[in-house]
Amino acid sequence: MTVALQIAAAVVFTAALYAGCTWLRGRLGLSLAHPVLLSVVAGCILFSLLPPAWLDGYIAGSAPIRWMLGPATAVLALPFFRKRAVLAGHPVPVLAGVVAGVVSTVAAAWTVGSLLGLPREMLGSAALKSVTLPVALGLSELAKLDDGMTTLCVFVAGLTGSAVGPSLLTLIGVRAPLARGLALGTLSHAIGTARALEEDPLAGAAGVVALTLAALLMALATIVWVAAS
Amino acid sequence: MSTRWAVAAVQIAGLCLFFAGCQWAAARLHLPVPPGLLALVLLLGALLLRVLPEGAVAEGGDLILKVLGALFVPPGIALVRQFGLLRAHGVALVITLLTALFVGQIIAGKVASHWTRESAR
Repeated sequence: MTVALQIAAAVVFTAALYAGCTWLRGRLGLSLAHPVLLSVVAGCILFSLLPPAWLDGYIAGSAPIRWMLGPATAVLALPFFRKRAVLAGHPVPVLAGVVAGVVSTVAAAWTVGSLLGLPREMLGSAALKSVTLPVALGLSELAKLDDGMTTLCVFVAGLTGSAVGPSLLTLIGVRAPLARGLALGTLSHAIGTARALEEDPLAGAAGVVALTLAALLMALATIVWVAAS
Repeated sequence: MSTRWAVAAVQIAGLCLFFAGCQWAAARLHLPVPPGLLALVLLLGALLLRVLPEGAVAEGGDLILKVLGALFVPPGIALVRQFGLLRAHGVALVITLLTALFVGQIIAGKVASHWTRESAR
């Protein structure tokens, strides 16, 4: 197969799979049935049944899609720019909440994962679980981790955090929309932010700011960690 | 409508060129930073410093954000290569992820809540 045909096949397959799963989600009406998660599960099942050469061909052909994650990471600047008033209006709660959330979750992932004997590549992906996916994949590549594993960890954090997080925050007495949005955005990135937006516009705006700051903080930590190791 | 699509297409082409420039700069200067992250920081800086008006990237940027989910499908499917690792460590991974997630949410929520009250006084 020529390279051009391989790319065309991978792009058409990805677009069709994603469109089909978006349609299915609309039919099912389940918030947990995220189209990306459905697409990944369906794709994994399909390629695990096919000869390995098909997966190799798909991964090689989807290189331009993977490349587009770069410009997609850059445009994350837009939602942050639009909601920057939240940071300007509440600098201390925003910065304190994001830093505390990022530091505590990475420390907990590293401690628990090490105690349970997780290999290095899984520990790294678990530490990146709360970073918004385009940035997490860039950091995954930098730290030589597996993209698939990082994607899985990011999804577990996003879906579980947005499903259980609001009840957990209510249970521990966190009721201020700003604080709820910061907790959901810092730990469950865009999926958590969408959930925060359903609760309150301020919580949604805080989530956008939190997910960007958390990604930048984790990026800094990863760059330092890679340089030191 | 067609003008909007044309504007979005030109802006997306511009964003791709901008990212390619960041890739080139990161490689040339041996920067230990993912090029996408470098592009994010530079674009955010340009928007905040008003070097670049929001309208110059808004149409194309919003369109990319709209289809962002589809871009995650190929790296996600690559997980097939890690099924052996998942079979061996799946339970430990889930326990690690959930513990770290809930610890982080509780601490972020409590700290932000405390400082929101302090700031209001």
